[in-house]
Amino acid sequence: MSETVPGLYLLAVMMGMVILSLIFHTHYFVRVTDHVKKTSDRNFQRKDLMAALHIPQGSNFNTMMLFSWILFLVAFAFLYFMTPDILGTWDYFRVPQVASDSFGLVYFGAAVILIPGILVALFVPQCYGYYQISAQLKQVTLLTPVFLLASIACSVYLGTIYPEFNPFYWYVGYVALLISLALMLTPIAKGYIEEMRT
Amino acid sequence: MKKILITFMIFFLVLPMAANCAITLGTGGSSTGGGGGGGGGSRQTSIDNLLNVIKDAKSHGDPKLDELKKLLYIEPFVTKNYDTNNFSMGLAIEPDNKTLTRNDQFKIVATVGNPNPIEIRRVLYLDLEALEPGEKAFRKVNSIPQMIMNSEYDEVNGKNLSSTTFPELTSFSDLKTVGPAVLRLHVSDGKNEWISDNLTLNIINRPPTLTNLTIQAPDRPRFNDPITYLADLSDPDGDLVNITLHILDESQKRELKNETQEAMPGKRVSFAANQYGFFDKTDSGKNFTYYYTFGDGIVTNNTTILKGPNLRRSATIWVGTPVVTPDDANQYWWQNYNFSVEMKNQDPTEPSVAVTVSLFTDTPAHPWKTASDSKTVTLTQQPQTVYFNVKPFDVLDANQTFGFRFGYSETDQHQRDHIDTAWIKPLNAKLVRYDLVSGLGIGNIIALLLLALLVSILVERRFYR
Repeated sequence: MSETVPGLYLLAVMMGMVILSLIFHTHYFVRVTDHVKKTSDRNFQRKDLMAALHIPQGSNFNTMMLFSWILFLVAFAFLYFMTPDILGTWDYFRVPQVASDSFGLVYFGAAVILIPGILVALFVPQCYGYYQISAQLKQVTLLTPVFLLASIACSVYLGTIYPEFNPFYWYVGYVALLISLALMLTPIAKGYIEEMRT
Repeated sequence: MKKILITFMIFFLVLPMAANCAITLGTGGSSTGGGGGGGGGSRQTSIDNLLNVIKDAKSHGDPKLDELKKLLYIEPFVTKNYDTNNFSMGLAIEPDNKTLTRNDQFKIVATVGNPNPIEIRRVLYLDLEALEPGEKAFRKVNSIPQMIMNSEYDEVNGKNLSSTTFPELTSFSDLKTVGPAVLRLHVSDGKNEWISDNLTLNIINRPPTLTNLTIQAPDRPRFNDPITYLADLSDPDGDLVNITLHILDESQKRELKNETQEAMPGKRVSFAANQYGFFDKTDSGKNFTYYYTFGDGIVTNNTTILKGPNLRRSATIWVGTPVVTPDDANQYWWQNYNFSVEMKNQDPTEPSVAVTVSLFTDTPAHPWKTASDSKTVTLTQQPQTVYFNVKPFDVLDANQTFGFRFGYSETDQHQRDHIDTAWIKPLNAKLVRYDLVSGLGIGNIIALLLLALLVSILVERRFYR
C-alpha cells in the first residue's frame, strides 16, 4: 500500500457506504412486509409482494443508472488498479504491452465493463424499482456520470505520468468517486428514511 | 573316506611287505621261520618299520615300488556302469534369432544331458568354440571352462539336464567381416570328450547412410566466418561410423584437406571449418567443393561431390566510434534514435567495397535484438557516415540502460566484424506515450464512455423491460 495515500482506509469508507445501503434496502423490505402483513388478512409470497411493490422508473432513468454503475466500476478500477502506488498488488502496468498501447486504457476499461460491470448492472440498479424516486432526485442523479468522468480523468492523468505520482489528483479522483457513489445510493437512503417515518 | 583309504593302504602294504620284512628281519636276528626250521616266537611288524622299508625302497629307486603303486591304485570312481554314449548336448541363442547384426546382444546357452546317476557322475568341463566369418578353424571363446558339478542337474522329463551360459560371447561387435558364424560346444569329463552339433548364426551388416548434407555459413562467407559442414548420420545397426570430409578445389580434381571423425549414428555430424583450419586468407574469393566418405568398418561409401563454400574476397575497412542521438533528450522508449558510425575502405587495392552493415540493440528485456534491416553501403577511401534512424525499443525497455552494436560484413582495423558501445543513460521510465489532454488521452476516455453507454442501453433493453 502506498505511504502517500491511505487508499485502503478510503476504500473502507466506500465499502461502508455500500454495505449500509444494502442494510437499508434489506430493512426497508422487512418493514414493508410487516406493514402489509398487518393490514392484510391473507398470506402472500415475498415474490408477489416484490412484484406488487415494483415501480417502473422509466427507461431513461434505468439506462442512466446502469451507465452510472458501470462507469463507477471503471472509475474505481482506474483509481485503485491503474498504478501500483495505491494497492501495490495487481495493477495495469504489470502488463506493459497493454499499458503502452495507444488504446490500452480502452482495453483495461472494456475488461472491467464486460466482466464485473455487466454482472453489477444486471442486479444492482433493479433496487431502484422498489422506491418512490422524485423527478427532482432523478435530475440530481444525472450528475453522477459527470463526477465519474472527473474521477476517470484524474486516474488517466496519473497513468500518463507514471512512474511519477501526484497524490492531489488521486484525492480529487477519490472524492469525485465518493460523491458519485453517494448520488447513486441516495434514492435508497431517501426511500428508507421515508419508510422509517411511517 | 580318508580312514577307509588309510586302512586299505595299510592292509595292502602289510601283505606284500610281510615277506620282505620276514627276510629282512630274519637275516638280522633270530630265525623267523623264513630259513626253515621252527623257530621260536614270532616278531610283530610295526607301521614304523613298514614305512622305513618303503622310504628305503624309494631312496634306492627300487623298481618294486612302482609295482607297489599299481597294487595300491584304486580307481577314483566306479566305471563299470558309467554311460558315455547317451550324453546329450546342444547350444541355443536367446533371443531365438539366428540372423544378427554385430551390435545385437544375445546369450549363448549350453544344455547338457547326463544319463548317469549322481553317484557315478563326473564333473563336466564345457568350452564354447566359434568359427567366425573368414576364419578357417574354431577358436575357444571362453578362457576358463565352464564346469557342471555332479549335483547341478535338474530332472526334466526323465533326463538330467543342466544349462549354463557363456558371458564371454554376448555380441559380435568385434567382427571385421560378416557372414555365417558357427558355434559348437566341447564337453569333457576329464576322460571322455563330446562335441555338440553346430549352431550357425548369420551375421549381417547394414551400411550407414549420410543425408542432409549442408553447409551452415553466412551468405557468401569470408574465410574466417563460421562455416560448418553438417550431415545427418544414421546406421540401422548402430555401428560406430568413421566419417571423412574431403575438401576439394572448384574443379573437383585436387583434394586440399580431409578430416575424419568417429560418430555414433543418430547424431548430426559437424565439421567446423575454423576448428580444423580448412581455409585461410589466401582462400578468399575461391570456390570449393566437398564430399564425404563414411564406413562402419565393413562397408565404406562415398557421397557425391557437392559445391561450397564460395568464399568472398576479404577487404579491410576502418570503423570509427559509434554514436547514438535520441530524438528527444528525455529518451522515451517510443522515440526514434539515430545510430551512426563512420566507415571507410582502407584496402588500397580496392577502390570501393560493398559492406553490409547491421544494427543490434541490447537491453535486459531484449538482448541483442536486430534493430533494423541491414543496409549495404559502398565504402571508398573517403570516410562516410552510416546511420540508422530507428525506433528500437518497446515498453519493456523503459527505465533500462542499453547497448548497441554495428555489425559489418568485412573485417575492421581490429580484425573484428562488429563494434559494441554501451549507453550509460537509461531510457526514461515513463510508460504511457500520450498525455491526458491529447487526442489519444481524450479518445480513450470517449471510447470508454461510449462502450459503457452502449452496454447500458443493451442491458436496459434486454433485462429492464
